Amino acid sequence: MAWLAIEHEGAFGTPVSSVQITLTPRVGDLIVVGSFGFVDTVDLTIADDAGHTWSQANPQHVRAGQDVGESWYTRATVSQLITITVTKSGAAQYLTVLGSVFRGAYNGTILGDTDASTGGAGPPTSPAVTPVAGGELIWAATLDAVTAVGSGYLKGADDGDTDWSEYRFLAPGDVENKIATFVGGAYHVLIATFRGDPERPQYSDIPKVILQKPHRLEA
Amino acid sequence: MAAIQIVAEQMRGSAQVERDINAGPARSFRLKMTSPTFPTDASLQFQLDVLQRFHAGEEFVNWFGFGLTNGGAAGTVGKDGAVSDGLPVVGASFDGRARRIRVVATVPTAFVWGLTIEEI
Repeated sequence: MAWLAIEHEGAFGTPVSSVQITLTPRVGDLIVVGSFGFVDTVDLTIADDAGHTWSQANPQHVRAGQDVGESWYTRATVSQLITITVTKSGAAQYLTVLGSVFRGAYNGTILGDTDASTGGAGPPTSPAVTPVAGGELIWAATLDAVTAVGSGYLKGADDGDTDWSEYRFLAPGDVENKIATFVGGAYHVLIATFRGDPERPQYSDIPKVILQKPHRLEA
Repeated sequence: MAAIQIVAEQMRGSAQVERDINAGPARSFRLKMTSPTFPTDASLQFQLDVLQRFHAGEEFVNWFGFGLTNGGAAGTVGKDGAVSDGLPVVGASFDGRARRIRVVATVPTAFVWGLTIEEI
């Protein structure tokens, strides 16, 4: 199994009631979107202009007195640019959206483990999640003053206001618990695992292309 | 650095401005409204859409944006405990590919407003 990260997009607004991002998946790609909105009593909803059915990854998670975080995922049913809109209830306030497209998801139940955490001081650190099959995608998103991804992770979406997502692909058979960390201060972190497609070959299984020096043409 | 500023006093309907972003490292930019009335008038609405294209002649496609259905947000406490001035800000990061962006503001009810675009 092998994953590919296709695209990441983040945006924020304040004070706003909704934020849009655009992504360009291919049919079958996994789209993961995380969002954080102020204040801690609001509800967040997601929709897109291609009519995808979105499933909840991280259920609404509250940072008391401040904000809520939530994430969703869907398998793309179109190969085109789509506009994703996250809308918050309540008064216009801060809202951020972090979206990513990944290729290589399992063609069955994709979502594995999820969790969330908050903290008043950094580094942002998620609770541990448990891979079930190995080869999972670990995706995490955090709100606040992020300056770098954590060890072992690659940068995902960035909203331009120090709120990021990050990800890593686990090796087949790796079912050890995993945490996600970021470099930053006070935080609200979401983490989720997504199962990879066991039929999709590892890069090492792909036949190598051997490059040869061109023959010199003799006169 | 306010690279572009448009001011549409008492405008109703929509206005747009375009700007080329040169290729370079990944970076971010922000758009911020300026208005003396929006932060304190909860009846006002503002829709901002940012579109992009990567090659001349292509259709512009949505990039990101936001809808604000009520003004009057001055004084609310937001991220990091900061008190908002009630003027909407929206931003995003991008991968550094050269593109042309079109910023479209839609204003159902006329009021004095402006918009700045700032690369970070």
